[in-house]
Amino acid sequence: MNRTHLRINLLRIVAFFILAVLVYNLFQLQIIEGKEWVNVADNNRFRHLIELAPRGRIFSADGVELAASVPTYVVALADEVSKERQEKTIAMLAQFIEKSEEEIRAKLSKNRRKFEPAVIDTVDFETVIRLEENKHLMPSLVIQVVPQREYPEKDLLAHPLGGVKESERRGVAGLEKRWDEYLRGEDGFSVIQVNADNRPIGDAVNSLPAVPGDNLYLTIDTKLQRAAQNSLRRVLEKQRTQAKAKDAWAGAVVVIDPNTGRILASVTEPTFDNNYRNNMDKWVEDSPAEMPAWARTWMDRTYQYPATVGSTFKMVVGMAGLETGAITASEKIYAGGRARINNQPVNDFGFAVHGNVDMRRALAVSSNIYFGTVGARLGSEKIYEYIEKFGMSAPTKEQNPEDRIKNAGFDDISQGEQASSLDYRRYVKTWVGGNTVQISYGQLNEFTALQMANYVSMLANGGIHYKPYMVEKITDYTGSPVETFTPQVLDVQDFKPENLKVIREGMQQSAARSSFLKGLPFAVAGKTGTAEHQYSGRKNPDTWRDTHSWWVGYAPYDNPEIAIVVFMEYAGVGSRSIEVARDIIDCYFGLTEGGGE
Amino acid sequence: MGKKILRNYDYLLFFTIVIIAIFGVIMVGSSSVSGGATFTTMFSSRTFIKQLIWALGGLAGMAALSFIDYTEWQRFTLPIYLFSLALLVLVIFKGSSAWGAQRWIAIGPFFNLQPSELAKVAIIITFSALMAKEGRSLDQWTGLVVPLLHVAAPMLVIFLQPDLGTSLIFVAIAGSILFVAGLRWLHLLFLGGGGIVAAVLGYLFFLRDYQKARLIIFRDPWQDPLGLGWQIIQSKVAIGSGQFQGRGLFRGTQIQLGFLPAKKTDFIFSVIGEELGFLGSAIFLLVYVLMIWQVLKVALEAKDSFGRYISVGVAAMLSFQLLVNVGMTISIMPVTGLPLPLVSYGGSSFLATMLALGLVLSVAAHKDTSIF
Repeated sequence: MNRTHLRINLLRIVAFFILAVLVYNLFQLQIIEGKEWVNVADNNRFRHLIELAPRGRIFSADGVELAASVPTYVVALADEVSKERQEKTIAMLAQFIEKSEEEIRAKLSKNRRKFEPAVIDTVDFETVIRLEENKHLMPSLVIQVVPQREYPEKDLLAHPLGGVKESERRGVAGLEKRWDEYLRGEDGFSVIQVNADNRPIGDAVNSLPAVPGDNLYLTIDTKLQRAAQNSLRRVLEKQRTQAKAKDAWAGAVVVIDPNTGRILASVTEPTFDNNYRNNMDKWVEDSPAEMPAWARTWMDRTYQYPATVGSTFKMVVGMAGLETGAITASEKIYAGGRARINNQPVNDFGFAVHGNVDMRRALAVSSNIYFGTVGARLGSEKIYEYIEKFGMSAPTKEQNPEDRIKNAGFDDISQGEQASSLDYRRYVKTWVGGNTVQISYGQLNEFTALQMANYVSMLANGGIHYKPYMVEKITDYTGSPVETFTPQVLDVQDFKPENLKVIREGMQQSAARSSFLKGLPFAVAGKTGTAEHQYSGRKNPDTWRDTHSWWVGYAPYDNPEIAIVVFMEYAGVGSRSIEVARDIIDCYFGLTEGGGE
Repeated sequence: MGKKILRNYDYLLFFTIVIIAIFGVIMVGSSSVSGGATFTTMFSSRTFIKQLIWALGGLAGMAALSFIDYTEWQRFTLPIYLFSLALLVLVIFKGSSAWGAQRWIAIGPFFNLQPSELAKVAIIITFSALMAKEGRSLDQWTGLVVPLLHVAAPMLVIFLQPDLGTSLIFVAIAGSILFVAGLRWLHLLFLGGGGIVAAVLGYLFFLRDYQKARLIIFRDPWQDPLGLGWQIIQSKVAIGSGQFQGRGLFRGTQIQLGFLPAKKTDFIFSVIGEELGFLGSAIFLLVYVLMIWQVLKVALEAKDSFGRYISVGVAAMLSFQLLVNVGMTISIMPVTGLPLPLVSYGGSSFLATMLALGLVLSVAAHKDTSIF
C-alpha cells in the first residue's frame, strides 16, 4: 500500500512540475518579453490584401475576343484601432464616393475578417485618381483592382457563352460554367505590415501573384456566326411581315464541319446583349416592341430546345428502310395525295398527287405517304434503332448521370444544362400503329437543332459520328497550350455506300428544287421540314401558330465542307428556311461581297 | 447511505470544477463575439449559448454520475469497451472531417459527437477494471501483454483518423495507471525507451514531409510565418502582449481583431493570456493543477484499486492535455489539436471531461471510512 501511495504522490509532483514549466514559460513570454510583444501587436499588424485573378478570355476561331476581363476599382477600408481616426476617414471618404457615412459604417461592421479590408464601393478610374491624391489623409484606405467580365461582341454567341456570377466570381451558365475551373485562375495575395496608424511598413512580407485564368479558343467563326444571325433575323422578320407567320420571332442555326464535328456557328434568335445577362428589362428595351415575351428566353435554341422536325426526319426512315431491306431504292409506292396507313390518315402537302414514287423522288417531293408506308413496314422498334444510330435518342432516366449524354455527345456545355430530345414513347400510354406512321415523317418526337446537325453530318460523311465540339484549345495566360481538342469519333455506323448514295441523291434533288439554291457553283444536298406541333393543328385563332420551318443539308454535294441546320419556330413551311441556308453558304464560300473574303 | 455520501463528498474538488467551467464559458464568450464583446453582447452569440448549455448539462451529468456507486461500472466493462471501439471504427467510415482528419459523427443537426473524447473516459473505466482484477501481477513481463493490447486497440484506431495527439493521451492514461499499479522500474525503463525509439522511427519513416513540418514548426514558427507558423506566432503575440495584467476581459486586440484562428477551441488559452495577463493565467493554471491535485487525493483515499486507477487515469488525462494544449499556445509543444478540458469550446470534450470527473467524485463519495 505504501508503494502505491508513494507513486500517486510522485504523480502529484509531476502535476506541479507541469505547472512550474508552464508558469515559467509564461513568465518569460509575458513579463520578460512582454513589452516586445506589445510592440509587435500594436505596431506590426499584418494586413492581407487579396489580388484577384483576371478571368480567362474567350476567343473565336478567327481571333475575335468574345469574353474579356476588364479591371474595375473597388474602395476598401481597413479596420482601425482608433475609432476617432476611423470616423475622420469615413467622413472624408463619403465626400468622394456615392455612399453615405452610415452606409460605410455598416459595411465596416459587417466585415468579419478584421485583418482584411472591408469592401465599400466600386468606383471609376477618375475617382481613383482623386482618392489617390488624398490617400495620405485616409491611411486605412485601400484601392483594389477587381477584374470584371465583359463581352465585347455583346449579343454574338450570347447564349452558349453563358455568364458569370461576379459576386461569387464563377461561371454559372454555358461555356463559362462548363470551363470554369480553367477560366477562373488563381487569386494571389500580399501581406503587408501596418503600424497602429494602419500605415504600411516596408515591402510586402509575403506575396503570391495572381495567376490569370486560362484562355478558351472556340471553333466558332465570328463572320459566319454574324452572317447566320443576321440572316436568321432578317428572314424571320420577312415571314412575319410578308408571309403572315405572325409568331415567327425565334429560331436557331447550327453550322458544323461534317468531317470533324467542329461547330462553326451556333445561333439562337432572339438574342441579347450578354453584358446585361439576366437583365430582362434591358432585353425588352433592346428588342422590337411587338416581340412577345415567350420569344425571349435564356434557353439556347440549339441544344436546350427540342422541337418536332417534320420531313427533315425522313432520311432516318429512308436509311432504315434501305439498310434493313424493308424497301429497295427502286420500289415505287403510289402517292395519291391522301391515304390511310395503319388506320392513320396521311396526306402529302397540299394533297398533291405525286403518282408512283421511288426513294429519291419521294425525298425530292417529300412524300408523307411514301415514308409513312416504309415506316409502317419497319415498325417503331426499327425506327427508334436508327434514331439511336444517328445519335438522336433521348437518354433514359435509368441511365447513370454520367452516361446520360445528350445532344449527340456534345460536352462543351455541361450535360445538366442541355435538354435531350423528346421521345414520344415515354409520353404516350398506348402506342398505336398510327403513331409509327406519324413519327416516320417527323411528327410526335422532338429533337434539338444540334442533334439534327450531327445527323446530317453523318449522312454527309458516310456514317461517322464525330463528337460535336465548340472548344478547340485552352492555353494559359501566356499562350502556352494547356489542352488541345482534336476531332473525336464517338461511333461509326456501317451504312452501305450504295444506300447512302440513294439518300444523298434524293436530298440533292430536293435541294435542286429550291429557287434559293440556284446559281451556286456546286450542288447542295438538303431537305426541308414543315413540322406540326401542339399549336399548329387547331385553327383556333387565339392559340394557333404556324408550323416550324426546318432545313437540314450540306454543301458542296460532292465534297461536303459544312453541314447546316436552320430552325425557324412558327415560321411556316420548310422551304422558307432555305433562304438562311443560302446566306450561310454564300458567306462560308465567299460568294457575295457581304460574305467572307 | 445517502448521508455517508454527502459526508464524504469532495466539495473542494466539486467547486474547483464548477469555477473552471464557468471561467471557461466566459472565455469562450469573449472569443466568439467579433469586434468587442461585453457581458451583454456575449449572450447574443450562438457559440456562447451553446457552450453554456453544454456546461450546465455537463455539470448536471457530473453531479448525477457522482451519486452512482462507481463500482457498478465494473460489471459493464466489456460492453463499454466494445461500444467505444465500434464508435471509433464507425467514425472512420461515416464521420465528417475537419482539418484533414475524420473525427466527428453527426448526431442530429446540432451535435457532432467526437467518439475519441468518449473513448478516453471509456478506456479509463475499462483499463482500471482490467488492472484492478484480482490476481493480476506486474512482476513478470507476461503480465503486461493483455493491458498493453487492451489500450493499443483504441489508440491505433484513433491514430488512423489521424489524431496523433489524442492517441498519445492513451499512453499517458495507461502509463500512469500501470505506474500506480506497481509496474517495475526496469519495465518502465524498457517501455519508455521502446516508446522513444518507436517515436523516432515513426517520425523518420512513416510521417510525410508536411506532417513533420507541422510537428516541428513550433521550434521556429518564423520559418513559415503566414502558413504553418501563423497561428503559433499570433498566439505568442496575443499572450506575450498580455504582459502582467492583461488587456482586460473582452479587450484583447489580437483576439477581437480576428488575427487568431481557432481561438475559441484549441487556442482558448491565448485569449486568457492576452486578456487576463500573467496574473490571470498563472492563477488559472494554479487552480487547474489544484483540481488535478485533488483528483489524485481521491486516488489516495479510494476504497479499492478500481476507484484508485480511475482517479489516476483522469488525473493523467487532464495533466497531459493541460501540458500539451497550453504548451502549444506558448510554443513549447507541437500543434496537435488537443482541446483544453473544461475550457475549450466543444460539446464532446466538455461532456467527456464532466463524465470523467463525475466518476472521480463518485470514487470520493463512496470511499470506505468505516474501517477508520
